[in-house]
Amino acid sequence: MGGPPAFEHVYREHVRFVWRTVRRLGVREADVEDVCQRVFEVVHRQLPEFRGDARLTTWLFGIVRRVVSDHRRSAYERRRDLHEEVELEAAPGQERAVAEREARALLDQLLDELDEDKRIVFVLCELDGMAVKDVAELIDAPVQTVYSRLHAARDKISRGVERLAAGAA
Amino acid sequence: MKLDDLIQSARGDEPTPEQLKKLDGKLAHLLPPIGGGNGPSGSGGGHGAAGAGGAATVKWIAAGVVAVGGGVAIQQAVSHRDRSPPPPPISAPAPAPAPIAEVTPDAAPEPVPVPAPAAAVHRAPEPSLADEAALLDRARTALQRGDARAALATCDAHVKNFTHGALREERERIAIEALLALGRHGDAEARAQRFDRAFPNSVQSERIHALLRDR
Repeated sequence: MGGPPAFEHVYREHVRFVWRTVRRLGVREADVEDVCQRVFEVVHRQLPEFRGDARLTTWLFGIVRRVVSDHRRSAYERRRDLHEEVELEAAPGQERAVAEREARALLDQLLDELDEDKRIVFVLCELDGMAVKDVAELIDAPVQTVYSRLHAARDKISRGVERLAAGAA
Repeated sequence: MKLDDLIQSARGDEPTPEQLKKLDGKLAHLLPPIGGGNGPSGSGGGHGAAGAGGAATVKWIAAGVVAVGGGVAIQQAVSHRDRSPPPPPISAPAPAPAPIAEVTPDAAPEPVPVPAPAAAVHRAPEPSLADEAALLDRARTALQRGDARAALATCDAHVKNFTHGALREERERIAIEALLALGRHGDAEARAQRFDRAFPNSVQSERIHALLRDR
């Protein structure tokens, strides 16, 4: 193998995956752009040290995971959570858009109830449609572990939906 | 509302062309000048293994899991994203949270000047990657000029100021290199072991173990 791939290639090839993964790992929509910027700044800084003995996607996903984790821990994020106002008024003709946002917010809520490992597997398998084998490679975990986490995540999400349904009844 | 509706709602997580263009702009200093090739907002792209990123077919929807009405739970769950103010300018690291480092700092750190926290503001700024990188650049420069003690102290300052920083793997490599330069091989080995536990797939691992082998 030659040297590490060019930054531009990595960026162009993976930016969409990074974007939606950042979102689905718990970064709020308004912050996704900043977090993606941060991810690719780290990628740019560390790319010269990538030697090709690991899969690029595994390496990249590791960076996404750490930057997202860093972001979610930050005081900035916590303070925003505290001060954020909930507002969900449907403007005329916007009911469908509001319903979609409600659904997306509920999904966020249920994903937030998963621990990080299960959330990652659920996001990659169920939301991104990746095969378990590919997820195992991406996160560098045994296939059996991925199956086990996926099963547990599905179970918890299902119970969460039941709970919400019961609460709304 | 059904579970598959929730899953389907994640379809909108794809970036729009406008969002990609904005991100392009923010990373312009790292990308070749415009005109060379397609931007990500063009066709194609995407992650090979991840496909188009749409919601996957949900094959496991539990029978009877239906109808989450539009009730209170939804109201409580929803974050109001679209009207969130833009993040504040980030020029200084936030005051350090309680330092719960997964890799503990080495010995008593010497005071290393780091950018002062911004004066009391309504909202704590998010730590800047540029500040974090600048601190590590100082550590690396110190190491290059043979001042391993200063390099180590700067790494410890990084632990305190950027406990969960995005560049902490890089910090650990520099710290281990500094420990080796100081002849503290046992400490370097111990720190490398902690590193391996904390970052099992790090690209820094190979370099760290090469450093340890070469001593």
